[in-house]
Amino acid sequence: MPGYNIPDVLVVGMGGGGAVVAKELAEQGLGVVALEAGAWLEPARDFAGLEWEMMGQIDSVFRWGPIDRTRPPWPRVRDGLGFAIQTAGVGGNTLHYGGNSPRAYPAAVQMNWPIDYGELIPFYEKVEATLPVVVPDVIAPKDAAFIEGCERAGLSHVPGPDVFGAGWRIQPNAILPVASKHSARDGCTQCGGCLVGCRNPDGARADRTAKRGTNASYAPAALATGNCEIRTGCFATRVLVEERAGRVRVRGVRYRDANGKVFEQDAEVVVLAGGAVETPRLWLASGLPGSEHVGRGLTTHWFDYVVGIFPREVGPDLGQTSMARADFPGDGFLESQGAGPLMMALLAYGGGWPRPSTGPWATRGKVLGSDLKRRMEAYRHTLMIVCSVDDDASPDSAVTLSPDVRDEHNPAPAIRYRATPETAARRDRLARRAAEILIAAGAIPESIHRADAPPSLVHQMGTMRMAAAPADGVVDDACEAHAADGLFIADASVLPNGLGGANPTLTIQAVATRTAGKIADRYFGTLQKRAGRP
Amino acid sequence: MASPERTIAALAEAVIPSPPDDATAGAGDVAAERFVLHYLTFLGPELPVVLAAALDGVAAARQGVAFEAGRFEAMEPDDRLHTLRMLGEHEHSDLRDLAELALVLITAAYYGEWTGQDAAGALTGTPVGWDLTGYGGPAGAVPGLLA
Repeated sequence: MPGYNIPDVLVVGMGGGGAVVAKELAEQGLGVVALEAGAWLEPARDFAGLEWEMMGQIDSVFRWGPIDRTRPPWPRVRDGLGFAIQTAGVGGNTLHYGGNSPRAYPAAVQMNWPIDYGELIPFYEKVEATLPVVVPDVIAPKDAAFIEGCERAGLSHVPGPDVFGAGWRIQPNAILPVASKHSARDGCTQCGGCLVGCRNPDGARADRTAKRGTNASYAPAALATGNCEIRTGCFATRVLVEERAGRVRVRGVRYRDANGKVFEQDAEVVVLAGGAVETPRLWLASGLPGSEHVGRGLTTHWFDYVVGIFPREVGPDLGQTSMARADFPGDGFLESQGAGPLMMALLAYGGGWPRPSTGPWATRGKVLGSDLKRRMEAYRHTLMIVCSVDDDASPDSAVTLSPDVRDEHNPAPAIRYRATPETAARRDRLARRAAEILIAAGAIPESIHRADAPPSLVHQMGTMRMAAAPADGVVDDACEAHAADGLFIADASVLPNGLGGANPTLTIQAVATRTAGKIADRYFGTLQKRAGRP
Repeated sequence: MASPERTIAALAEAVIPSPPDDATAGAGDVAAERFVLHYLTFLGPELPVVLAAALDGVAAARQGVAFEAGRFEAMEPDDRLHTLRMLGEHEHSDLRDLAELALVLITAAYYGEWTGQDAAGALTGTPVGWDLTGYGGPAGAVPGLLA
């Protein structure tokens, strides 16, 4: 029986996974305290819709850094990586994601996970209903062009949501149904602002903004139970453990608030959900029992971007950020990608330094000078396709602690990424398919450009992998640490691979839903119902 | 007189050229170096000097001459871009990252919202990059795409 003010469950991080665990357990009557490094932002007040203001990563609203934006961001030491997107704040990276919510490719789960794909399906269904995930019925011109290209390139429609072979489909998005022209007060207004923070429809309550980041869905639902407290501006610096009956048992967490004051919070169960960088960082900084897998096996889907310019306008700034996709299980996926002009310039034309290559593109790599300006003048005629590759979970790609750099909390994470030759080959195949789709859709062949982007950290996964045996992973098939009782993980770090290339958030949330049930079963009993917080 | 500000302005102008090298307004016309200097200084007060020195140093190496402040600024735009690439492919990752950061900041100054904002950050005009790309800025509802 927990003592006064000792929660049943302490969740570290209220992003895509942590908020799910918090809501699911609080709904069962358990007392939940959640620590979140950032603030709880108010869309109507804080989401300006401006690209640099929201996404610049240095002093922007969405960034990895203190709530006080006059202070620099928290440092990360990157090796083999370009930009690294992490977001402090309730919602985490779902604050700026596109809401794209496909399931993992079944073959990827069947091959490498300690649980069957079929076991995940009811959890997928629960998350899809809760968010909800919606297949939109009105698509934007950019996405219509993408679909036209897919069909002309010979791809068939695949109905989803369980995808076993190649084909195109309308993007399942965690975005409310498209609003009515007669009353655009509820639902998606197709404003194109998913990545810079959804604040529409105008005047909507924070929990009714169209995109269902966990800031608008799971976190408000957790609070509504009356059993969950969210402490913002609180950064976990140590996981506290003790020995009980000869076993390592979690006791709680030490954390700093935004003013630097240090607290310790005990709990029966601790759930780490800071993401694939911060969770191994916290584990290592805490000196928790070692495993050769801690921090290893980082995957990122090593994005590339291929663009084409059309004789007609395709409107990259309108509609949900991505409303169509083509799946290639085993290689990854392609999707139409909306962007404002700054993101278009950085992603499409700010790639690697140009190098000779053969392919169905006219140019490749960075575009500078007048060439950049001419291409950007064709912005409204430009369709960008994202290539997301199923990259190998290599032990050479890892998160460790920097021996030289630290922030006010701990040694900084040192993030190393190394792509295997097989990963590079898959990525090349995807980029070629993207170029073929653009040409088939009517893009001017001489305009086809491949960014050849260096690896970046957007879909970070896999550094605390799930495995049945301690020798093969950090957490078991319930996502409880092999090395510490009562310590669970509910973020992208438990994913044993890159899901075959599919966007990870829905799978993170399905696994987190399953983990919440396992926590209740193992530590609190499935029938326990409590009147309120302890 | 060489200065980090002038060196960075020369870099920005090569990346996004102004008339007479290009038909439309460029980085020089919007003083993009102010934006770059602000953010470099925010991240580390020494970074503007380090970037300028690195560009001058690589420029000297490229030309096979001794280091001299202002050498980068004196180059033709195409040579500046080649020099930037050398910095971007430098053996030291810190210098590679600095070159990439400078490019991001120049791009953001021009294609982001900064040129339409007042000193308090309010959007009071159309940013030059929006004007040249036809981007309409943040939208509410898009009537033609509703159900």
